[in-house]
Amino acid sequence: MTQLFKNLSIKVKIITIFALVISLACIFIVTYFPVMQKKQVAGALRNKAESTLNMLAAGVSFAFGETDYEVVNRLFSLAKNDSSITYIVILDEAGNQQIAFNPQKIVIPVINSQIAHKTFEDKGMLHTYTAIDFEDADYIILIMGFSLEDRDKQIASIRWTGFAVSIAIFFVCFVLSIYLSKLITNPIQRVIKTINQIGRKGDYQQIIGTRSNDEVALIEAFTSMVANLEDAKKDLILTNQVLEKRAKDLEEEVQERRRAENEKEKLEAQLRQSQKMQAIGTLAGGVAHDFNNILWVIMGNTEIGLRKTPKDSPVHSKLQEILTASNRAKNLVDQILDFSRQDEQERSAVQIHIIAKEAVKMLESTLPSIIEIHKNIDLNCGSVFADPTQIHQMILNLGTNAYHAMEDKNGILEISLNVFDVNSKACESCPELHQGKYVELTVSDSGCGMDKETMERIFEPFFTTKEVGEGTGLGLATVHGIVKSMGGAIKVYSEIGEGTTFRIFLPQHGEENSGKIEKQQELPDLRGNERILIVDDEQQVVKMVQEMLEELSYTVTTVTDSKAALERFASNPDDFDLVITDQTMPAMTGVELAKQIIHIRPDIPILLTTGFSKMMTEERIKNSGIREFIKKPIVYYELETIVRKVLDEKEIK
Amino acid sequence: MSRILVIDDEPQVRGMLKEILEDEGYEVTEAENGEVGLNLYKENPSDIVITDIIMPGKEGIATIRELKREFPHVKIIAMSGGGRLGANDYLMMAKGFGVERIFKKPVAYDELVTAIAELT
Repeated sequence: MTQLFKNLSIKVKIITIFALVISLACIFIVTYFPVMQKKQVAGALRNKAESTLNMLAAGVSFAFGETDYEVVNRLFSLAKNDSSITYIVILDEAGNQQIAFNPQKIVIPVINSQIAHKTFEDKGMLHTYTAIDFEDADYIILIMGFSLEDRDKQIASIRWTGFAVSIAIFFVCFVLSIYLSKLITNPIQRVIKTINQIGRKGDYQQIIGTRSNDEVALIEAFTSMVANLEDAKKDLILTNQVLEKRAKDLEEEVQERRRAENEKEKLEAQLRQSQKMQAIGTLAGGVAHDFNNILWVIMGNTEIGLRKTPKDSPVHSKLQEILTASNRAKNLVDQILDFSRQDEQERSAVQIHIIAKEAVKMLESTLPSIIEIHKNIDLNCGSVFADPTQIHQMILNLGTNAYHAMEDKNGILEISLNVFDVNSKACESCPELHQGKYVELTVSDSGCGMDKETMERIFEPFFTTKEVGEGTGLGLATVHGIVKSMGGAIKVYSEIGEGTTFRIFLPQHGEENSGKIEKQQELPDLRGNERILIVDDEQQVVKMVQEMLEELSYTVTTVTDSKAALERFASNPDDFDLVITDQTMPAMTGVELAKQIIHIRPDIPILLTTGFSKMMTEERIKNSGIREFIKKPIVYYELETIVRKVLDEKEIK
Repeated sequence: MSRILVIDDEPQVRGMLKEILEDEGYEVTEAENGEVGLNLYKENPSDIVITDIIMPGKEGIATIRELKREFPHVKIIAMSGGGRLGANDYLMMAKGFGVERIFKKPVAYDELVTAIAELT
């Protein structure tokens, strides 16, 4: 009940309370007021009856005393004038009617000489009686009847009046209550409406303009509060905007600074490099003329001497030594000059496979036969815009370096040339590569490999790991310079004791490798949500591959130890959709790991990353159950593509 | 006996060439720059002129141009060890003016001798 009342609106509540109170008042008026009136009217009649009775009794007493009954009749006829008197009866002791006016059969409850006047109502009349005493102990009883009709009419009229009045009051009050409740609730409702508008829609413009001096002035307070809130909100938004802008500015500033720092570092490195190059160039240019003359004088005279001394003479062999040394000096000067004049070459569209074949032929004839040369040259790899001698020189330099890395043992030199199609706007990991076709030259050896420190410096001019006098330290610097000047990229991967692989990407001639999408071809979606386990003993490689794959929304788990990787896989083989493992790892190689993993779960696809594909013949790959292998140094675009391809193949299965 | 004019600013080079060529049976005249060489050739034309490119006074390219203009049948061998530009650049220029043979210094004994034998 209380709950019901609570749920009512204030308006209904007010009206209800009002109605309740008014109803009570009306009930009171309708009931209590007529009762009171009735009492009064009844009292008045009684008094009148009694006084009339007394008066008549006195008259009757006198008349009876004198036995003058005529008086009685006169008294009676007087009484008859009063219309309210219905009857008058005089009874004797025995109760017999002596004299009567309009006689009635009335039973008097108590009759004796002692009774004073008594009054009672019966049969719609008010009866009043009294005993009239005489000295001789006789008595008579005088009874009068009064009509109640008038009195009852009066009472009824009072009751009706009360009822009508209370109905009127009720209605007036009801209307009043409605008006009052409206007076109170309407502004409240407006406030509620406004609050809702502000709260739900955030519309601060809806401010109600009610003016009032009563308690409902709350609305004005509210209005001003809303206005203040609106102002505060505007201020907040403004402050927020200012702050956001400041934060953005700051961020931009930081990024700008970082960019500037990177740029500065890059420029410094470039400056160092170019200073070195300039120094070499100046030296070469300035010295070459004199140096070649001097060298020629030495060589020419040595040759004259050689011709003029008998072959068995000790001088002859000494002269031969001088000539050999001079020839080396000549080669050195040539290399320095070639290096310092990289940019001055004449370029044209070059069928790169022809030059590659020539260069390989030259390597085959100059390198000792203990070095096995595997060549894998794609005859349809197109042309590059280059100086043919530079391409030739590049392959010879890389080949010679590879040979030097394998000098102490038998080894395999692998030279391959193929098309590398970059089907993505840009490779994050290799910003030099843009969308388009490249010719990829791979030179890989099974030599001694090199450590990280060495790898970081191999492209520096004059950096060499060879004995003093054996290398100029310009070979790779020249290669680097040539590749860069052609707008290509060079990547290197090396593992100590396993070998080194160089991957060179040269833009195919006629291809716009500027990052523009010429044909609106759809770029493949390389993203995925599969779970990938990466195993590589090199923390840096693991981290980079992880970041790259996570960027594509894959879930990546990394392990840097092959045995730990196997344990991790064995504990929950269904945790992964793909395993990417390095081949060269201590404790267990990638191929061994792959075999063990496939033993646990035959359907798991495995990718092997290796810099030395010659060790991974097709047959071995099939035998080990590995789906694909990825060439190291990793070009991330290639990795992304192969990962997606292998996972998609699995789905089809 | 064929006569050869050697133009080079480096006396040691001239001396060495003279010895080689004389050993091979040629008569050798020396000049230390292009001007001297041109005068000597005008006085007494030789069968072959061997000239360096970069020399003080009159350098090789100008010398070659004049010789070829005035004596269209002159046989010239140009040699260069390079300078500001690479030897090849100078030698290609020389070839543009019609020299018979070009050599990058240092020149191998046999190559030079063979070339001269072919020209005479």
